[in-house]
Amino acid sequence: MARLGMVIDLKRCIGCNACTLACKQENGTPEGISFSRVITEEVGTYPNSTRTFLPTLCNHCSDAPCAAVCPTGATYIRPDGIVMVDHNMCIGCRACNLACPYMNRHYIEHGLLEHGYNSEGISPMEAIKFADFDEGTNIKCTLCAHRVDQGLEPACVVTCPTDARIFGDWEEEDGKLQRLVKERKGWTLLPEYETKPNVYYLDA
Amino acid sequence: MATTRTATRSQGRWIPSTCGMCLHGCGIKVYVENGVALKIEGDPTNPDNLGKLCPKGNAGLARLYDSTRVLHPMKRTNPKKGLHEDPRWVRISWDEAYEIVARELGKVRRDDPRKLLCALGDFQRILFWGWPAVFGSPNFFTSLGNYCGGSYHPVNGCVDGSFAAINDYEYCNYWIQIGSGDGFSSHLHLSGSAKRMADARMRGMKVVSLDPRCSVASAKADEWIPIIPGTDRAFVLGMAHVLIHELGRYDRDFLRDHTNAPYLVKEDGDYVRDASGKVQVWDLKANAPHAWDEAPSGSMALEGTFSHQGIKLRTGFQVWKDILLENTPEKMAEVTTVPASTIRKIAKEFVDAAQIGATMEIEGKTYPYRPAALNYYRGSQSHGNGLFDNMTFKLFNMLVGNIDVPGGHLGVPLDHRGFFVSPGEDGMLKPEPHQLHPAPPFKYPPDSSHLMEWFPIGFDAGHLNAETLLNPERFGLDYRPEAMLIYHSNPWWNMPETDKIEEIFQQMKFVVAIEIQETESTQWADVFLPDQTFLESTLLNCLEPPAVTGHSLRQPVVKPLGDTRDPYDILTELSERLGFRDDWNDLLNVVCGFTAKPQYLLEPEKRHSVDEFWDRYARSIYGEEKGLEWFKEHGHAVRYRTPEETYLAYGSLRIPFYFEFIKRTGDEMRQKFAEVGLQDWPLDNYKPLPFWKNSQVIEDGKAGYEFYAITFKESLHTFADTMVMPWLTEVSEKDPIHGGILINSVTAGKLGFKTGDPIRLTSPGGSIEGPVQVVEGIHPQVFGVSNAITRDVVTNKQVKLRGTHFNRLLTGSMKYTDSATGGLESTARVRVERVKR
Amino acid sequence: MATRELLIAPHRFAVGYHRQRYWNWLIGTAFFLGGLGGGLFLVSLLTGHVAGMIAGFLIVVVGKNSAHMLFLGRPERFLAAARRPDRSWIARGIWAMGVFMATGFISILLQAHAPWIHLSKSAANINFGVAAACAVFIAGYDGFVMRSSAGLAFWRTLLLPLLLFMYASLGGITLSLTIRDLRGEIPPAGLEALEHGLLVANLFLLAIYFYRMSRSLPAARETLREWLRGTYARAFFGLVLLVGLAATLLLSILHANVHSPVLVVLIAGCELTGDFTVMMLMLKSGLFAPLAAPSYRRGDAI
Ligand SMILES: Nc1nc2c(c(=O)[nH]1)N[C@H]1C(S)=C(S)[C@@H](COP(=O)(O)OP(=O)(O)OC[C@H]3O[C@@H](n4cnc5c(=O)[nH]c(N)nc54)[C@H](O)[C@@H]3O)O[C@H]1N2
Ligand SMILES: Nc1nc2c(c(=O)[nH]1)N[C@H]1C(S)=C(S)[C@@H](COP(=O)(O)OP(=O)(O)OC[C@H]3O[C@@H](n4cnc5c(=O)[nH]c(N)nc54)[C@H](O)[C@@H]3O)O[C@H]1N2
Ligand code: SF4
Ligand code: SF4
Ligand code: SF4
Ligand code: SF4
Ligand code: SF4
Ligand SMILES: [Mo]
Repeated sequence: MARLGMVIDLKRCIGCNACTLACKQENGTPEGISFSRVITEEVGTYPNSTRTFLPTLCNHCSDAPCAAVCPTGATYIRPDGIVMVDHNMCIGCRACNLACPYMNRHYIEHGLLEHGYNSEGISPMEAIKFADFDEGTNIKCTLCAHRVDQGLEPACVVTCPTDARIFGDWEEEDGKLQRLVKERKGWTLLPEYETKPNVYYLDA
Repeated sequence: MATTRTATRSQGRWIPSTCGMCLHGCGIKVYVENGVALKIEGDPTNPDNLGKLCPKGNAGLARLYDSTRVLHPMKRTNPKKGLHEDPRWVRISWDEAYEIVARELGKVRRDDPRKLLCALGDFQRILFWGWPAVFGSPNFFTSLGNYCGGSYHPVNGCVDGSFAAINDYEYCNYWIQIGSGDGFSSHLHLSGSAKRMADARMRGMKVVSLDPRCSVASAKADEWIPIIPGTDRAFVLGMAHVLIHELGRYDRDFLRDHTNAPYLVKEDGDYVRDASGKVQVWDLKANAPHAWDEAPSGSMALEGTFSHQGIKLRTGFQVWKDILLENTPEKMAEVTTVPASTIRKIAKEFVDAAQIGATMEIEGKTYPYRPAALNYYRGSQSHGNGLFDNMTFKLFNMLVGNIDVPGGHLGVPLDHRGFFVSPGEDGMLKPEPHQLHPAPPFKYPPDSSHLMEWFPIGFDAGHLNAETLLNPERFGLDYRPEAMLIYHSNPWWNMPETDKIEEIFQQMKFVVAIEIQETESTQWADVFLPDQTFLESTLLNCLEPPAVTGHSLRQPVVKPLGDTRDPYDILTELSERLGFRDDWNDLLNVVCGFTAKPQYLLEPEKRHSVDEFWDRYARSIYGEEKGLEWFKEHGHAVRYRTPEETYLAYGSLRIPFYFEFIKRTGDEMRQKFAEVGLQDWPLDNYKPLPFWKNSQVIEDGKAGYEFYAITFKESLHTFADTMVMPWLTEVSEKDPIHGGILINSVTAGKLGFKTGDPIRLTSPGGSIEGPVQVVEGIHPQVFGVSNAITRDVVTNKQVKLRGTHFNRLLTGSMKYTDSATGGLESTARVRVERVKR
Repeated sequence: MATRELLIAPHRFAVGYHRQRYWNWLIGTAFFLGGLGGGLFLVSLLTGHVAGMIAGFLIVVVGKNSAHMLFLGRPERFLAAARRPDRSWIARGIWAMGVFMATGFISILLQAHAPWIHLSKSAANINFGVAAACAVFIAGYDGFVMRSSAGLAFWRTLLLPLLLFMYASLGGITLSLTIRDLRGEIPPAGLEALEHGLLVANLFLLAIYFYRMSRSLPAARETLREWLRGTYARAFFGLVLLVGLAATLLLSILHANVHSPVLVVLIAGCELTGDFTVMMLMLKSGLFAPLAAPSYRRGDAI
């Protein structure tokens, strides 16, 4: 069986947030909710300072604590490893929000879907995309399951101008993900939380 | 199971088109379902952007569906005008709108067509930029092109017939980036460039970035070198000194055989010519001067001071070599604050990497291989002596012989026509300093309010309007503008000296805007003609593509929202109503090249539709079978430029090392000004070779303006235009570099400033206020103002307005303008003070 | 930014600790009332005290459940939360609540000798047993729910359910004592001593908890810092230690000699304040760890 995931190459990444915006338009997430986000920081002291960029998304953890705590089974792990939420089953208890160490779960507050990003009203595009969401429930990065199921790569991956996001299957022996991680000593975020992320990073 | 009812379907309807979120026009495809556009992706078949999209391109749907877009023609009912005056728009019909515009502009045209000021900024429809000329107005009331490329485009055009330039992503191994975001955040075709840059870095290319601020390029570079703004030329002069005077390493063969460096010049700077007028070189074998085309290459002296018939002669190369004597790294270190050891180190690394003498075979042809190059853009050369900046950067590249060779510094053509290569005088390539329109002949009194007749080698210096229009007598302007046409430009925003610009707006009797949304500039409009966004209109675009060539089609992906029109229609209708449709068609026939292919000529008598026009344009370039229909299906005709098109396009024509053409032009201008009795017009910068001199900005330091202020672009925004889009601002306002006025932590400490403290910067030109943002990544003497905090009027209520408008610090006068190119000074000296909340 | 000391991040695009803002005072109140009511019911059941049982039952069934329902994003679907008792403590809680509502109610009727309920002795005992077990569960499962919130290092310890159960018992005993006192009943021997013991034990447990956290993950250490020296230090020292433990202990010792309803209410007030504050501090101080590349963390010299 597949175990889908991603490798993010921090050497390639230029922190442009194209991934953030690609996800925004693909999924039409409401205001303030970004499945993909680039964490930027300034490190060092002038003149030996720099800016760092860390693109993130759901890690689709093999030991996903968000799924483990979900009382309704709304959060589930697909056979291919994608961690999903069925919003029709979610009761909005937000246990998953606290279970995910990476803050990759998003709760849709009541009232949030009443307005889009425009000063006035909801755009025709938002109107359609918002139909996938439910106030009072949780949403998260789906690894673009709806695309993956059609043989497409996730939206953030196809757009990434530097090809810093590499999508693939960890089960593929010596596949591109495994090879990159071996060659470049890949690592995951917050390994001490023992979630077994399926998103790996390569050093800048 | 979770369901996704709505998003992207691979089998759905994907319409190929072209991005219009910035000028460059990456290939896109748009997913449309039931008439609603739901997703934009890069077109993977388009080699320009290889399926990639930058964040702005990814935000295109938010532009289309922005509720604050203007969707119907409107007229103003509030006679009072001002930045914060509500125009009190009322909706009108297109017919009424056209009628008002035709009536008002008709009056102006009958009276004196020059009274119309035009601000045209639609780079993707650069073919239409001649509309004002057909109207009869030469005026360019906007500061695009010259705020960035005022000196850059002319120098590129003189060197190799290119419009822009970039280093060779494919083969370069050592990339010096000076004041530019190429490959990281801005400039040419960000999406594709970022990919090419990342690939180059992954194969081991080293990047060194010079920038007063830790830009993305600097953050990703192997080495970031902070520098005092406007002193980059000094850094590079210092490196040239090292190459020539300390290391003695430069590409002698290239300079001797491919440039005019060996041409002899006299002390007055003119070429040495023989009786027949032929330029002379020094023949080392004969130990005598020789016509350039008769001396055997092997014995031609590249350097040296000679004496012939009692006259001191030097090669062009020797002249610069002598100039460089004083530009020691130590002296340049004082100017730039970059340590001399760093200047030496980078120069050495550069020349080591350049592999002078190496060759490379590509597709059976042997080229010089110079995998080291220096790339630069707006930041490093939009300065008062921008001509010298550009010359210096080009000459430094020439020292290692890397111009238009694999691995080196490559010209980028304006469009599909490629480099403008034709033989000029004296074995040289013909200089093409003006590529958007023919160089205007000198005229006094001038016709144009921005004095284009006085800048034969510049890019229209729109910012000078601030000086000329408020003191018309001083420039002999014998008319006073009364009306303005704004199209896809925000002159209030983009020009220096905002107060003066407002005063000029205030003087207008009639202003018409072709826009998609209300801006600072449209606050003065009387009639608003709503344009269609890039997802609703049609054009063919090919603009400054760094690695490829060929057109991409923009086509409507949805039915246009509201009651908007395509600019081709708007301009054509206005031409018709103003009575010059035939001339308009004629002009398009010329600029589109239809005159050379008469079967495509627009018939003067006829009103052609948008599609008809672009269809002819497509077929005229790509052949009978590749009309609009073909493009609608295939999306683009973009392909990689071939090695022949990319490398050594100048062939055996020499390129200028010694910019004799510029010197000569200056001499001619001096004479022309003298003839009309204008003695005090500055012409100092028409020099054949660059050198160091303090700029006005550096001089301003003596008047107590301790710090520098700079502006910059980053990947999330196109200028400040996209500041109206909450999709983008939601992200950009979270990045500290868009958080306020950037101040180095040590400086902030000395001044007692904390992040968030309100401060005021005051320059000789004006002052701005904003909150402090303390950072490490900026030179301690420099304040940075992101474009993302510089809007004053935004109609989307979800956008937090921050209104720290950088351009108020700039001065739009000749004192701050390159006297040869009209390039403006985009840096200001400032004082700082705390303001009360 | 010379030092790499990380602060609370202002938003999710910045590096730093992030406060959890998902669980608010409503769920805090639900947990608090669950502990309190469960504890009270249990103590009352064991000591055969009908009024306490009724009070405990109402606190749980009405108080806790309303707060919980108000908190849920989709309260109308709450029954769905019972679906995964195999892995979710919330689901287990739902089951326990259902059983408790039935057995607890029957227990009250039996205890109050309601005329129309007749159960065999053994059935009644089983019912009592199940009700007691459910009460224990309800008083303590919130700790397990929180402990399984794997994202918050400060909660990831078995000491948390223990601590919350101890507080629930303490609250139950205190409230039981209060009700009896106000009704003029004599509390069973040892109940006050148990209260005092629990007060001291909780102090020790807190100390152990902190010691444990001081050697835990950075986010837990940072939370601890916030309790002891940061944002929450005043609430912790003032309300939890001084009011909740010290004052409660001193006043209840005083109560051995001075009998006054005011004092009794005051004792309950102090204890419940400390109890509630512990719960709210736990919730509010939960911190997510900073997300950053190890290579970015290698120190200042880059
Ligand atoms: N994302 C994005 N891309 C764009 C545009 C955009 O708005 N957004 N605009 C397009 C246009 S029209 C243009 S002109 C280009 C401009 O493209 P760039 O030239 O790349 O853009 P800038 O940010 O204006 O300037 C580049 C850098 O110069 C630095 N700088 C400022 N002053 C100095 C100086 O004196 N010396 C040095 N060494 N550096 C300095 C700034 O900090 C900045 O990092 O980009 C084009 N592409
Ligand atoms: N402070 C500061 N000033 C600068 C610069 C800077 O970096 N900082 N950069 C300078 C440079 S390099 C340049 S080139 C200029 C650029 O200056 P401008 O070209 O004036 O740039 P924008 O402000 O983006 O204005 C473009 C306008 O076009 C409108 N527009 C967008 N899409 C469409 C469309 O489809 N149709 C129509 N009709 N209108 C549309 C937008 O609403 C916007 O008002 O600014 C210069 N000025
Ligand atoms: S799109 Fe790619 S390069 Fe840009 S921030 Fe995201 S991961 Fe980095
Ligand atoms: S909020 Fe929804 S998805 Fe999250 S744990 Fe609760 S029921 Fe599951
Ligand atoms: S990253 Fe968070 S939301 Fe995603 S699977 Fe892991 S725990 Fe769940
Ligand atoms: S995989 Fe899809 S849903 Fe997840 S961050 Fe990328 S674009 Fe968004
Ligand atoms: S670089 Fe310009 S044209 Fe290309 S995707 Fe970005 S905004 Fe669009
Ligand atoms: Mo520009």
